[in-house]
This record gives sequence, structure tokens and C-alpha cells, in this order.
Amino acid sequence: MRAPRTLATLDEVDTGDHVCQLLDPADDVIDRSRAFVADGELHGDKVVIVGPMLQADSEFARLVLDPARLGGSLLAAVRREAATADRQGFRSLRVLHHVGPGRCAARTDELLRSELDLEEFAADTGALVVCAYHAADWDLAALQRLGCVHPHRLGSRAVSPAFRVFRAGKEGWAVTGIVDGDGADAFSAVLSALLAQTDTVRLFCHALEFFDASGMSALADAARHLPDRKVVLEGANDTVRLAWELSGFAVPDIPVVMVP
Amino acid sequence: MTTSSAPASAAAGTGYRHELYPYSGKDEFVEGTARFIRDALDGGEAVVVAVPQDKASLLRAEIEDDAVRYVDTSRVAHHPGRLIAAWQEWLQEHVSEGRPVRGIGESPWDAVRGQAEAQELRYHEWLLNKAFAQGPAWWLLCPYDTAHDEDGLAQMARCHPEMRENGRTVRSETYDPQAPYRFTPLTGACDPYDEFAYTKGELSSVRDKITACAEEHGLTGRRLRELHLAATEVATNSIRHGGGQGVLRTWSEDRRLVCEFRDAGYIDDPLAGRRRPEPRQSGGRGLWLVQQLCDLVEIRSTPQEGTTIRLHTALPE
Repeated sequence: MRAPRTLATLDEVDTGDHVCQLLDPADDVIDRSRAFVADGELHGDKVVIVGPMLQADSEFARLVLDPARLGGSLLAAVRREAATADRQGFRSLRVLHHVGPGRCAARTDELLRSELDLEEFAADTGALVVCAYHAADWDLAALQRLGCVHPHRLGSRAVSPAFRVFRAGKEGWAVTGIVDGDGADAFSAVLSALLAQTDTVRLFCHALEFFDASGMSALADAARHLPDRKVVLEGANDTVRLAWELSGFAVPDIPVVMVP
Repeated sequence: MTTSSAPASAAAGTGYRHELYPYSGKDEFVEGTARFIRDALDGGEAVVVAVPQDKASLLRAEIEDDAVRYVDTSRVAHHPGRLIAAWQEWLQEHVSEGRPVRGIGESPWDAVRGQAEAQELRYHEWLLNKAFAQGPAWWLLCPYDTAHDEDGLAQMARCHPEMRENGRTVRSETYDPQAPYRFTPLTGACDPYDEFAYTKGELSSVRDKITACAEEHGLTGRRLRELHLAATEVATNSIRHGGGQGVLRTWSEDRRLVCEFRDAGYIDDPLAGRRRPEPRQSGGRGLWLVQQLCDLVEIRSTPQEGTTIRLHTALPE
């Protein structure tokens, strides 16, 4: 199973990684992109840079996917690129996503869903995805919210959300850390997005410390928001189980089940 | 014989009676409590006995009757914040049958783990009057050994509307239903202590500070995780309802780790966290979890001085 980790440099990125990279104002985007492309060539990866085309005659022009000109979802575009990479004999697809600025909550939620898609894409295809956020363009709360769906992080001021949700095999998603009042809204958004796509969401909780009361409320509310949905928590520790029982949520009309 | 009449019905409401029974020695304990039980049985009432194991054995030897339910208090006896919910649970079966109930409740005063626990046990006795004021009718007799200090008896008398004297039920002169509870001031923080001011977005830092102190004293694993959860709830309350910030202090005292949270908020419901939450209720679970997960919880809250909450966790031997 993939495990969350903090990277010191981009050199440590591996296939299947989904990295949240926080850029400082002093970071040179062109230099970063150049290094990313060079690493891709070194490892035999097909490289794609997602972001607005800054210069038509840029050295990266042939690699750029401009979100404004995709004609479909980002996920569909990178899936196409991954299929092409496979046909052309590349080891893998390597995606550098320069995420544009966004300060409104709606933009953050939209991005959260997109990041969940990319997370699933990276885990399922073995593609390597680095999402570069310019710290100056985002407030910390939004970065924490977006960081929680990246199992890997990089940057001198790497965001450290208290919990993370990431793809764990084809069967479900791993939840690690602590879902507390600071992260309950983000957890609710993540779980709601997952439940919108499938009737049963399996969460592997072996590395989950606990849900606090607001985290449990988020779980219960998301689980019963849509009809005929179910959330399965696998491997939850004694504290998670005890708190769930104590809080009165362990009742049949809340479709959350805990299994060993 | 008592001169008080039994409550009419367990479902009638507002008929809660709370009576202190000061006694001296085992014989007097058995005499008074057995008489109370026999009166109940004669009247067709259910009886719930929640006393320390040695006292239960004395009563069992005296009264063998299936209508008397001796409950295991070991899970809650030293956790005053859990006792009201425990009584609600013990009474539930009889209340749902609409049957009058009498209870006998005695805390393990011989084995209290310090002044803070004794204080919270007495406060629990006072809170019982509020907790059951609007609930089903039942009658709780609280035996109290007069061999304990006189001040303790005087404090207990202030928590009970009625007292048993010479086999008769009389009004407790010192009980004032309108007066606030008279807390003994909290002891000062033990030196050395660590202090940390927290605000929004710093719940992780609060837990980190507690971890540093806990691990120093060998507290790890499940118990530390439960303390983290309780601390997260209290700190979240500070941030959401206590002026957006608070101050954490941690220290060890009498083989316990104490985490104290201070903020500017005011908890106006003295029963907050003492009753089991309903599945559909929104919110109101934080302090309930705190009471269930910590060995002892002290809450002091006034509009003038804000709120102080101390979480006590026993340290490993």
C-alpha cells in the first residue's frame, strides 16, 4: 500500500506518487519545469505540464496542456496522455500541474474533487503527478484542505493537514492521521465526492488516530446524505470504535460499518 | 419507619427525591438501607442498588430478592462525570415500564483518589437534582458514613434536598435549590508546568504539547490517544465558543497528568457533557466524550471569569 511521505527534493519522486508541492515566491517556475522535464527524460517518462501557456515559443510548448483549452476534464486529458505514453513505450506519465490561483471556497471545492481524481489516476495507473501551488496565491486553510488528498508533500513550507485521504489499491481509500475540527469540512467534502461516484466507499483506517466529534459528525452526515450509500471503515483502532459508540452514531440508520 | 410517602409513578415526572442518609458503621448502613428497600418492595417498586462491592455484599446477605437490582459501579464509581448517564441507563428499564423506582447510591468515599475526585463526586450529587428535576419520578437514597470528616457531611447536606434522621425524612436545612454550587477553588498548577497559547488552526500543536508532557511520564498508546481526543474537544470549544483562543497548561500531580484549558467562554449548562447524546442531535458531543475518556474532569465556568477545564489522566505505574 502507498504510504504518505515528505520529500526533500523532486529527485525523490517515484511512479504512482501524487505530490503537493508548495512554491515560495522566489521559486523560478521555468527552472522547476526544466528540472522536471529533465528528470522525465532521465527515467524514460512522458512529461506533461498542466498550466497556462506563458510563452508561445517556450521550450516546453509541446508539453503543455492548457486547462482553458482542454475541451474536457483534466482527468480525461491526462488519461489520454497516459494511454499514449503506454503505446509509445514510455515507463510512465509524469505530470507537473501548475495550479492557478484561487481564493474562493467554490474554487477550492472544485479543485479538491479534481485532486481526488488525480490521486486515483496516479495510484491506479502508476503515473507521477506533482501539483505545484504558489503559496502566495492561497490561504493556509485552503492549502491544508487541498493538501489532505495528496499522500506526498514537498516544499520548504510543506502543508501539514492533520489527516490525509489517498487511494489504497483498487478497493478503497486510506485515511491517516486525525480528523478534527480543523479538517472536518475537508473530510466531509472528500467523502461526499467519493460517495457521489460509488454507493459503497471503503476506508482503510489502520493509520487513522481518531475522529473527534466534528469529524464523526462529518462522517455520519456524508454517509446518510445520499440514499443507499454505505461507508465501510476497515481496521479502525479501539479509540475510533469507542468514540463512535459513545457518540451515539452506531445505529442502523447511519450507514457506517466498522470491520476488522 | 419513614414518614415520607413513595412517589406515585416512575413516569409521572418531576417527582425526584434525593435524600442523604448519614450513618455510623456497617450495622446502621444495613439497617437504614434494608428498611428503605423493604418499603419499596412492599409498595411494588423496583430497586436499583449502586454501592461499592463490600456494601452490596452486606445488603445481599440481608435481602435476597430478584426485584432488587445490584448494578456494577466499577466502570463509573471513580468518574463522577459519567454517573448521571449511568443512573439514566440503570433506571431506563423500569421507567419504560412505568414502574416506580427507588435507588441507593453511595460513592466509594473510602477509596477516593484525591481531593479533586471527592469534590467532583459531591458536585455530582448536587447536579443530580438538576438532571432529574424534569424526568421521571424516583427516589434516591445516598448513604454517607459519618466517620468521614464533618466538613464532608456538611457539604453533602448542601447537595441533598432531604436527609434521613432517626428513621425519619426531614428537609435539609442547608440545601438551597436556587443557590449556585459552592466550589472549593481549584488548586494551583504544580510546578513545573508547561504553558501554550493556542488559537484557530493549532489543534495539532495542542496535541504535540500534550504528547511532549505525556511521553515524559510514560503515557503512550491508547490512553494518550484518548487524551488527545479529549483535549481536541476542549481546545475546539475554546476556539469556537471561548473567544477564539485559549491557554493550555500541562503538569503531573499525584501520578496523574493534568491538562488545563482556560478560555473566555462560558458554559451555561452545568449538565453539559453529562447526558448521552442522541444519534440525530447536532453537536453537544464534545464534553460528553471528554467525560467518558478522561479519568477525571473538572469544569469551572462563570460569565465573569470564563472557563477552566482540567483533564486528569492516570499515569502508568
